[in-house]
Amino acid sequence: MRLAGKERNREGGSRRSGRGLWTVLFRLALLTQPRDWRDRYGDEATEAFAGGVARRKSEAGSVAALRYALKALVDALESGFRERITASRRAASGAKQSAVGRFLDTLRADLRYAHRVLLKRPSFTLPVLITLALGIGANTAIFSVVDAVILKPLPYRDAERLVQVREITPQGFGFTVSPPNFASLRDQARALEDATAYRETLLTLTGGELPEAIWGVRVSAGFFEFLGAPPALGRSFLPEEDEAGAHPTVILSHGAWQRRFGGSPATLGSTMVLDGVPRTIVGVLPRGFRFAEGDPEVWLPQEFTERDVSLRGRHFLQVLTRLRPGTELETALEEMRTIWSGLEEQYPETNAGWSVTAFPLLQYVIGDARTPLLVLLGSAGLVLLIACANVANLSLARVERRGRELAIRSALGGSRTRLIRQLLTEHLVLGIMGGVLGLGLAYLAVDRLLVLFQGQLPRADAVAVNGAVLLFAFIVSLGVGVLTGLAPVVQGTSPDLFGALRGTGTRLGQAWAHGSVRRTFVIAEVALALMLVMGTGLMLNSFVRLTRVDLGFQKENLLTGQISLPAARYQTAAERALFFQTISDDLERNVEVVAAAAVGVLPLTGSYTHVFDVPGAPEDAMWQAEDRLVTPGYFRTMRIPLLSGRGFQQTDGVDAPLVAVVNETFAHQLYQDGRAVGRRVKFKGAPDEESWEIVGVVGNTRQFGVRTESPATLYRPHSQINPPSSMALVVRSAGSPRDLATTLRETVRTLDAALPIYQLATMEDRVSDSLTSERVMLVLLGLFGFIAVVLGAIGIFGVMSYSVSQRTTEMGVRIALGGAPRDVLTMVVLQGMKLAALGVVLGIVGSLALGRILTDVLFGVEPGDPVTLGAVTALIAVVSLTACLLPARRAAAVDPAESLRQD
Amino acid sequence: MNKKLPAPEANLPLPAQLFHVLLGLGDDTLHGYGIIQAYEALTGGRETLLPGSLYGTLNRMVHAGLLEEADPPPAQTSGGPPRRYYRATAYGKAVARAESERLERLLAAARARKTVPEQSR
Repeated sequence: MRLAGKERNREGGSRRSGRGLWTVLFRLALLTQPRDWRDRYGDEATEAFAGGVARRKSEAGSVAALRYALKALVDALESGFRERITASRRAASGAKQSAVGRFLDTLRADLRYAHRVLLKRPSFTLPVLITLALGIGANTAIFSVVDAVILKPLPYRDAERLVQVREITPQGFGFTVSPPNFASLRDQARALEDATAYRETLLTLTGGELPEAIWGVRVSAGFFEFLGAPPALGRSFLPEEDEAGAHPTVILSHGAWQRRFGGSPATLGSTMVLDGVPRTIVGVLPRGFRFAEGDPEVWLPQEFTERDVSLRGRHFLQVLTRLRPGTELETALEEMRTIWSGLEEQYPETNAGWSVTAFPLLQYVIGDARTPLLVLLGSAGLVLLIACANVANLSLARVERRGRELAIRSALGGSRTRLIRQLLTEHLVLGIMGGVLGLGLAYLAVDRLLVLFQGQLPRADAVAVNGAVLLFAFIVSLGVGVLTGLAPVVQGTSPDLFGALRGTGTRLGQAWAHGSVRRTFVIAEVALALMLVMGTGLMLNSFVRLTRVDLGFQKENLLTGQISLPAARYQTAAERALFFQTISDDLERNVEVVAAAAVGVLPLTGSYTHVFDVPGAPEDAMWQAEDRLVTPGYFRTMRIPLLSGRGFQQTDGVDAPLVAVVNETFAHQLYQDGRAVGRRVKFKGAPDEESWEIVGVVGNTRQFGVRTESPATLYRPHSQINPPSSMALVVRSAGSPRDLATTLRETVRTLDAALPIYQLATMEDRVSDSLTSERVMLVLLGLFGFIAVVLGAIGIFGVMSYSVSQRTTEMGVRIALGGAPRDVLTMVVLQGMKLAALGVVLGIVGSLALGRILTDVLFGVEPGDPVTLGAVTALIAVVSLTACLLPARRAAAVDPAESLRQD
Repeated sequence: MNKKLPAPEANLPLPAQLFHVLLGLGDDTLHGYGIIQAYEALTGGRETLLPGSLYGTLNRMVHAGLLEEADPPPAQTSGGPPRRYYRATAYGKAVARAESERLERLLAAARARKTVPEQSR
């Protein structure tokens, strides 16, 4: 163990320099251990704990470190209580009362006393409890979300070894995997224990009153066993069902089984018609099993066709793998890359330029929800700190008022430690009571929080106030008790009790000099409040910018919906093209409809990229553009402006020359003169006669979301190509677009009674939904910022009021000696504002330092945006000034004769 | 501490944490954190001992005669808090061996019942 000595030295050094929050919490947890235990092992145990956290942090990231820290804390608390119980049992059986027994007795007495004191002074206890409950509640609520979304492992077997594998297109986009590539991966990868594939799919369920679109997932045989959740009823899919031709089967989710079949066991063996195919129900999944978003109702076998398994170029599988125990993701990825370059050599025509990537399934599931949640948790933490500073200040004032009582107790032989313990117990009781209230608040808040997320939070169903959350609240409450108790303890038990006993307190100018602890708290409060308000300001700023982004089309008065034509009844391209043309025409015949059209992929929602050859462009250039198939009325319906040339017409049919319309970005990226009309493009690798003449240029529209600039886009008439079976309808209304929903449904029904229309939503709602995460952050940060400013103002007000009340004599003397009341007012205001100014400076520094965290979340605003910073500073200054003015006016109104008589 | 110790087998089945400590120690003389590190290294980082309960366990193990406190090895007199060093007593090693044999028998039984795949050996 030579190495251990070296390592220990390093950790010993870091232990002395950086004492993290976790270490403090661990020390607190150790308080549950008997005193002599702590004397003997406290330092060593803390060192081991800090070392364990540090090692996990550097080796496995902060989440692993956090998980370890929580586990170790619970372990410390538990073993502490166990030690105590053993010790007190031993004491009870022994004749003489042990130290532990004495401690417990004292604790009981302290608790009783604390309750009495706190109940006797509701004017102190109540505001403190409200402040703490708000602070702890906010933290607990946010933590319960963070715990469920980020910290908790996914509910699958060996979830921490699950890895999502995706291919990377030659253009660098993440993409689905083709079945032959998946087979190569499964056969060749040695770092993987197992692999399985799935693909989400939308199905039309018929047999009920109305046709219905429901989500389903096609999975490989063994998928449920892979996740450790075999069907609760019936069987899993069989290997032969991976291929087309087997008898069609289906497995139901537990929810679908309950909703659609009343949970009857006789469901097994009955049929369900999906996409026109009758399928035998062979299984029901266990309750609570969740996979993929949108909680799919039905699970289908892969049923790969001959074509599916032979074409390497057709990518449509999601691939999930499990690493071998002890294998690092990086090692596995290295191996996958090797496999993929092998494939590239072997099958250049389909695999050239394709690569592979892999990341933990959890990361795939959480997506970009991580940063906002952590920012919110951090902000809630700042609010709690402000709350603590306020409570500590209130306690300080109270301790000074109680000075005489404490002095008497001290004079009567109460030991200093006994007094400290009494004061600490009071604050721990306050902390715990605040924690209980806060837990209640959190419990109420969590549901509302989830509503705010509008179903866009991954893993939201796992959010609950559970054991981990309770533990969190408990630890935070203890921490709050100690934090708020420290200052009063130091002040209240400092040796200068004789002054208190004399009953004079402090005199004249001394008062201001004395309250330095409280002034420090106020400065910190102002600084923290400024940082929070700055965060809010930045979010507000970027949110306003996001809502003002020119999307390139008119989002008002637009209703959108999705239609999928079942392949069984719409077999040919002509049938599909005709359907989408007819429905657009039929819709336009309604008086409430201004225009209607269909498009392959709606703006803002996603990507459908193609690679083009541009005659005349450099050989090696790879032109890629978004490809959108549209009916002729699309530009008119969306109000996308035509910049030059013409749009599509009904005459641009299957027999007419191939035509295309491009957007501005396309025209400028591909042609130096920006003049695209009259030029030709073709797909990479397509024969020359299959080239498309550009007949028009239209304005840019945001395709990938509000935040992302418009990509180069090529529009083609849906009738000139093989149109997809699924297209989106866009309908522009004269009045409210919501009123059109019935018209739209009726029109579809007239054309095809067995066809469902789904994802019906106005374009405005879609845009607004896409900004949900930003909205949640804005609302919550705004709320936190507001609480922070109110608490900060109360803090300044409290300290200045207290200082004025302590200095009535000084004010009286000043005025009696000829000082104008105005001068007294100015003096007090200046003293208060000096604190505020210091806080503001520190807050600005803090904002600039921490602002980087927000970079990912902000849009069009820099984290250190001077305008926002200026506005926020001004706001804090005004609030501080107001909070100073009230006590200052009281000071200026002091009657000198009255004040001098007081002493 | 010269009381008569029970036969090693009388301690079986050994509580898991005790067994883990004995495994982590082996023949070395280590302090608490050293035991944690050694045990983690031994299990490829997949198992750990938590500090909150470890030290109480060590104390109990000393009282039970499984461990004894020892002087620090000469090379390890660096800074940091004063540490207690431990090593397994002959009796402790005998208990660990007895527990290993018990587990071995269990594993053999599990193999016979095919609850353990063969290659996991």
